[in-house]
Amino acid sequence: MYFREGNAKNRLHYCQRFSISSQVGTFMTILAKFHSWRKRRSRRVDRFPVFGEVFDALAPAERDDIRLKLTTIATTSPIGRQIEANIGLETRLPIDAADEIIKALLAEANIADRLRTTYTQICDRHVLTGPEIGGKRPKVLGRAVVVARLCARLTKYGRFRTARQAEAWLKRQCKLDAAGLRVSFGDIPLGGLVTWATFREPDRSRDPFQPLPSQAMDLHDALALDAKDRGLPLMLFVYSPPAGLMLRFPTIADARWGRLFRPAVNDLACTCGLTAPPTDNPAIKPVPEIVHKQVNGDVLIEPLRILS
Amino acid sequence: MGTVNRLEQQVSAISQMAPSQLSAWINERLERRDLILEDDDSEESSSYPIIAVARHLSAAVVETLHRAALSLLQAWIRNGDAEKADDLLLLIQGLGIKSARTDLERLARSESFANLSSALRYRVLQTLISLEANLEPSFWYGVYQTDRRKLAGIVFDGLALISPNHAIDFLSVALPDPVVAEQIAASLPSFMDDVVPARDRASVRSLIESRLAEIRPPLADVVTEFFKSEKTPLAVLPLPEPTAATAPAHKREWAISSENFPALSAFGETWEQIFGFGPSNPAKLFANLAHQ
Repeated sequence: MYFREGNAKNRLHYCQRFSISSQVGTFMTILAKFHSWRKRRSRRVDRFPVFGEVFDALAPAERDDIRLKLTTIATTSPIGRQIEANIGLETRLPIDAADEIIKALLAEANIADRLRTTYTQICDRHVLTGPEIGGKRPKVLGRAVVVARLCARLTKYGRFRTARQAEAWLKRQCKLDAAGLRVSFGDIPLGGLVTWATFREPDRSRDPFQPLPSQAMDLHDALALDAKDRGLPLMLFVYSPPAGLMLRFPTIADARWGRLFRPAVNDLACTCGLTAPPTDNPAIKPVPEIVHKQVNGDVLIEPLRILS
Repeated sequence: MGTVNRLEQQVSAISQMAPSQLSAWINERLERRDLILEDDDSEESSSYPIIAVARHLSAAVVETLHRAALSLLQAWIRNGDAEKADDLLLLIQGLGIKSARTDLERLARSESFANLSSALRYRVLQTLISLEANLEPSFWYGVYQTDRRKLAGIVFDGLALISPNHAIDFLSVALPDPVVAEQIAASLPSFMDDVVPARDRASVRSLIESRLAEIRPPLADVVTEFFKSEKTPLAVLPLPEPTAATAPAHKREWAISSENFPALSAFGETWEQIFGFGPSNPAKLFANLAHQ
């Protein structure tokens, strides 16, 4: 069964019971049962899997159809397997986004390629829709980017003619102080349209990279960056989020077709997303993970560092 | 170590492909349809995952990958299907497929080059620069005439690959425009680090500074600003004679003429006239460098 997997087993079991109820009861009855069950359950559970509610609103035939399609996604690609699992665990995506994803998949033929394209297209429409993170607003954020990847991006968008040019320029930027950097990086985005960042816990006003591993490979794992780039030098951006910038929980929509994303832990004590380090090394722990809109380098507050 | 295993699986899957399968797979990857490297970032080139995984592949597989990409490039030049061309060219840059130089050079000289979109023309020229194509100065000056504002930076880079002196010459004729200045500013760090041999950096800096009067603002400003922030010591002249170890990798394949040395023509019509100056004249320094 689609829901009988992973660490959300107990909570998801409710959804199945809830689903049976929905076929025989009125909406108010269901709502009352929902709240009473929620009260009985551990108070630490923050939310319920958003897709459970969407599935329950489907007709039985549609429910069978969506399960078939999610199975197709899960069985035809390694990332698809992760996507299918993440759908079951997602609690922070708005219900209308989850509804649109499911409706779009239902309307699509059961062909892996097309399901994947449709899924990512709908995700693109709902990026940066997760709720604002909890707790004290971080004053300092950090991003680690693979230098080679950054150079490739700067080359693609025409800022430099070659990756070597970009690299030579970046090396010189490491000599600048924060004020100089804010000028030279003033029109260079620190990330994509959905920018992923980390911060320090519990003191959210300090450099997030100080307590993290100082070796590029270990930091790469802690931040769950792409394994293909593992071992390459990392450039560290430390910046202060502008006042109006919403810092959000990452959702499956932000991760699109991502291999290393896991939805935020469903616990009241969890105030932000967490990375999922792809390693068994106990010294490397998950670190806070948030998303926000693209910002330029005019918010940098520390000199650039390159870890190799 | 799940991900490591997955990377190994990706490497293994690519390594087991026959050359024809590899071409088909590259095509699928460039269209973001493949299943081996499916976790890409939509804001990056679809070729980047191939470039990233290539460093994990054996030399033999990389060589096959180069051949497959080259065959796709040749097919594109033949058929003109521009849909994936941009990402294919970025792939060729990222993998450093030097064998693509000839085809790209031929394309850049052909009449069909003018029919490409301006973005693709830029990408082709950028790829030639990335592959360190050593083309004659008249080619780059021809490119410059097609769009003096947008292509000045790429022309500077192309001329620098012939010799630093050509690039310095170009600075005195380049359009004095903020956009051009920005492009030159982007080029200068790599120009000094990668193009100018380490032992010549001080001399080249000295040469540029001696010619600052010929360079118009705002280009002169970015050059001055760049060297102000650099720690390169000033030249100790004369330059040592080139040895086998320090000789340039590319042999010069173009004639030494006033056409190829436009700024030098101001000093005289003949070599005797040009070099009939005292040893401290910049032209003398130029000749020394050009000789290398």
